[in-house]
Amino acid sequence: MSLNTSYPNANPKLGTSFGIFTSAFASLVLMLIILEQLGLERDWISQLIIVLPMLFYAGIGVLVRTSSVEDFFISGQRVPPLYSGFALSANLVSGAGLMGLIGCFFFIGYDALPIALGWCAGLGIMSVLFAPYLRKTGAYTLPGFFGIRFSSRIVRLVAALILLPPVVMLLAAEFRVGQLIASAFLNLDPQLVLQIGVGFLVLTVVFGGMRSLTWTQCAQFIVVVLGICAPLIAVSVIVTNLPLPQLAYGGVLDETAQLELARGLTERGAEGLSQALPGVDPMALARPFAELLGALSGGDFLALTLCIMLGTAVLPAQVARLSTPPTVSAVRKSFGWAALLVGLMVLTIPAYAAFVKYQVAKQLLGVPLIQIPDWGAALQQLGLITLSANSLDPALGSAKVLFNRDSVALMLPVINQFPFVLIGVVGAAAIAAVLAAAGGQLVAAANVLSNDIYYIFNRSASSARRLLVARVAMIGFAVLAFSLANRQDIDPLRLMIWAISICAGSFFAPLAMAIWWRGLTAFGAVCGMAAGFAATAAYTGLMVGGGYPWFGVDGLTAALLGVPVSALAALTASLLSPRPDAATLEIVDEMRVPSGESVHARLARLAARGKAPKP
Amino acid sequence: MIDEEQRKRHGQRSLRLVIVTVALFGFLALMVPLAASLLNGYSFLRFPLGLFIASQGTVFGIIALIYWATARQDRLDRRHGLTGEL
Repeated sequence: MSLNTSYPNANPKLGTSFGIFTSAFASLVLMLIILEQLGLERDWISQLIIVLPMLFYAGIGVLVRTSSVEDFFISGQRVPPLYSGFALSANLVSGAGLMGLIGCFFFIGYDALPIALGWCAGLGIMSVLFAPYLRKTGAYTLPGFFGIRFSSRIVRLVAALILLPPVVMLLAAEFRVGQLIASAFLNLDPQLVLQIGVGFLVLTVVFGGMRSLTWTQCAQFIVVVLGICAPLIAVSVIVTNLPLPQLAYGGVLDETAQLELARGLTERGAEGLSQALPGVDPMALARPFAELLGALSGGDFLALTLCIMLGTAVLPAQVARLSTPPTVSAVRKSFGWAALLVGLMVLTIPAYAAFVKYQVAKQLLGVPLIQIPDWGAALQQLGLITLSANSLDPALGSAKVLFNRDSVALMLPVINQFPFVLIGVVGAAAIAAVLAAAGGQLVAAANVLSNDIYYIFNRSASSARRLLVARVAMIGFAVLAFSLANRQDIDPLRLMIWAISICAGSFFAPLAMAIWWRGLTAFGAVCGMAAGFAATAAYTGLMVGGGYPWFGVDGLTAALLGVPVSALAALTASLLSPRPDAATLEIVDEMRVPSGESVHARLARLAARGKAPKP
Repeated sequence: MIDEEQRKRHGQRSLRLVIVTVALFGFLALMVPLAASLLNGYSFLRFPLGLFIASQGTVFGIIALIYWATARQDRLDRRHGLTGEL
């Protein structure tokens, strides 16, 4: 693959296309606002604002369909850094993450920070510790990297098998959140909503694989940013007169604290992490917003940050993305863009929750049922809150209000009595975040199945066959995650944290050692991954079953045990096995040099002359 | 092909940069938020200063660090003549 740094192959009209997309979305919203004033029914509005963008994403996905292996698996390696950054952030700020995090900030205030900080720091660690070297290897996927690094099919297969369960968990978490949000708008059976959503998702990525995914993720992330920021900026101007909510919400913190005191939201004292993190059941507000370490102990705060940070750094969907920019330097630049975009979201999310909490504490709490404002009834009608009269004194006592964690974000436009379309805009943003992240996981899983499981046993498979396997795999994984998401008792945010934790426990130590330690052997890598996965998954399962915590490690942060276990296993097994041969050491050295052809390309060239096994 | 000496020096310098950067990421994400609580007596932009540093300051810091590390590494690669086609 020879491309120079000016990306000659990228479509020069990309900026124009996305500009057109953005203005099309904005004009759709404006047009619906006008139609709403003219008396268009709400059912129509909510269907149009949710379904039209989805049709558009599917349209993009189908338009850029491809039958070339390079395009399908690595988007032709010509994605400019800005767009790659969009896609990286769309994978990270997933629907489950976005909605769950806004809800967490709403319930436990600044103690939800570990997840946000973990994303940012994880992105940073990935950008310096792994990303350039993974790109230089030229592998399509994380297992593919291990395969090239150790010239071993077994390592590749083990990595692939370990990688699939957490990816399916992440996918199911996205499906569940998507179902929840879409059901609030579409007046259909939730089962059917989920089927339609999954159908659209598969339609979006099945024809173009990574290439479709790249361009739909960009469009979807634009919708996420617009949909979350536009209502928030409007509220910020109304409440604080400043159009910069991320820095202006300090102005409402003081008053919120006084209101919380008056309404009795004064619960303090740390609990265990699993109890402190809000669940999916409707809950009453109990904790103040502007307090750090009120709900979590210092140890749990650190543990959760560390766990999310290490997991984010090795997320399989992110690794699959790394192979798409044209050069090592472009990969580094795409992390700059991703950091800006994720940073923007991470600054916006607490601001969003702060404004919702301020307005709820001011007008909804501490009021008898008959005196609650109109929008309180509207919230209940939309199913976002549950209102009931005070059991002691129904007439004068303050009403009991229960909130749903994952739909807190939808409350902001309702509370401010914005046109109904703006509620739909927030919903569309949530759906876009869900589809973007779910697409990322789906493509990552399908790439792994086709390249790292099917292809290594069928070296002579034709390109058409490899693409067919990947496409069938997409449908298969979608169905699998669909059935997991249909279970009644799952909590998307917890499912996401468990999956991230399992990724961290299985891959962080082996990947770091594979890149930075020449002495790691194939046997060591296999032992490290297997031991880390077993330890993390078993401990998570044990804690879900209600076991007694070891060393005070919470079930959500099982990676704290998994990472040391896998590092130790990899180290011991490497020292016990024969030293790596000269060819392997040469690959490690080659990997560190950020120029020249990729390791994969060099091995393929050697293989063509019969001097090395086919990568 | 570049000579062995160059490659070794480039590798060592990259490693040093990576260690410094990862340590700083850890410091920003793990130490700063907890230590910042001590500064809550002061206020900044009407935020308690500690909370501002924990929620916004660290994020700005991490973004700046990513750009700094990227620029440093790119300069290092250029100085050793290791940019170019892939």
